[in-house]
Amino acid sequence: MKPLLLILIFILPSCQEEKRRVRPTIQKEANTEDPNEKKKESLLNVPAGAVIEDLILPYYNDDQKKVSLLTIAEVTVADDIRTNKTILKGEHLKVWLFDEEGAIRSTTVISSADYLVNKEQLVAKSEVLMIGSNGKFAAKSKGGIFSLTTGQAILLGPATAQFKIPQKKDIKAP
Amino acid sequence: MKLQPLILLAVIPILFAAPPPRVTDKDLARFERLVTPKERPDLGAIESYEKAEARNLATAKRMVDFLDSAGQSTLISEPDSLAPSQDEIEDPLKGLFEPEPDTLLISCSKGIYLDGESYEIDYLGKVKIQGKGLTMTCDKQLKALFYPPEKKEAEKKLPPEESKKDPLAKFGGFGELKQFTAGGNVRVNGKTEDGQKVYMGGDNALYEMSKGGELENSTITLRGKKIGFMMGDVTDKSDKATSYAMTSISDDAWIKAVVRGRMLFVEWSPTGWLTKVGFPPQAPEKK
Repeated sequence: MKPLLLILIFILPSCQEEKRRVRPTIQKEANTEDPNEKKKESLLNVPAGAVIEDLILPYYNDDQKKVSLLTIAEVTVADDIRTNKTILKGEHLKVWLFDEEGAIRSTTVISSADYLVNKEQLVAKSEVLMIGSNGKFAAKSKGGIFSLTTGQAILLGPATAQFKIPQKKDIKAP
Repeated sequence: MKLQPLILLAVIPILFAAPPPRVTDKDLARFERLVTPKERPDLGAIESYEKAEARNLATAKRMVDFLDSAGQSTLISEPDSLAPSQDEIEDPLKGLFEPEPDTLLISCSKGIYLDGESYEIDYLGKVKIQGKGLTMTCDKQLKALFYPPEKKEAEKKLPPEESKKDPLAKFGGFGELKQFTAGGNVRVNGKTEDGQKVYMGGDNALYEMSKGGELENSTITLRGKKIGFMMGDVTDKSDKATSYAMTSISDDAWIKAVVRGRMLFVEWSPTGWLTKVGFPPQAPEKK
């Protein structure tokens, strides 16, 4: 019994020390606010029905390189009854997607789309026109989904794309 | 029977110039590597390509994750529509998406997937490519791979004022088209310079474009089961040129067609084919 007591005497203070060490960290984490979440909340604090003009939303990766840029000429704040979430209904939108070097890869014009604040996705159910590669590539579809944080996009079918191929000289028949 | 491929080679009227190098085992191994789903295309030894290739390893998973988050997780597996529908309403973009001599037009039924981390575009569902006198269709997926954009263009520095005016001032884009890999009931239809029909079909195909250089040069390789090839129309009795059709009876047959300028060179695996030759009608003898 004595050895057990001795062990407890040694162990208990060390456990308390561990608690003391952990607690400030937890408190600190609780106080830390993610600036991105704060930005999202500030968008959601606008009451339903409000109209915002010329909204610009740039997205950067961890290396502070551009991933995407969204501009919306007119945004109407609305509540989605089904999901009980706030959505932003945009009109006259443009989405720029960048490559890993920060150069523009494509620019997309959309007449109307919903911006899902929590997912940071743009969902277009109208015609989408994408132009890329110095005008050598163009695509259109009847809708699309853009992930602004990752630079991924899907133009929902039926979709059509066009490439320009550089003209080269032909071989002359002997 | 064994001599038929040799006879056919002799009657092809388009083989005027020196043929391209023959298909080797190395070419076939490369073909397999390129058309196998989710395997990355061979991008060569250029440093920037290798970097892209390394990042592309995660492309397939990234697409699935993205489709999940976008509520489109069943997009790839769901039943497909019969064909991409035509617009019934007047299209303000009419004419922009019409085939032209220097363009390739691609339509697909399920969608187009792009990722900022790779130089690829995935066309999902039933896909149709038109251009360069050829029409290619496939049932599953078509993947287009691009060369990275030229650094000089992407990094061209413009005066700050001009950069502000033009949001596309620093425009990298996709670079030139390098190749397509097509999967699922691939069909290629076209015409030779003298108007003869050309048809090729198979399970998987690789369409490679040349980069730089002065000559138009592209290669289409098909490999797998049930490969078909037809020059002219053997069913058309009035066809004035010799026509022939071939179908593979081997599971490991291949056909490689090289378009150089306006000439077409065709090579196929040496055995495992059924061949039908259509001769032009003989003119009546003069008395």
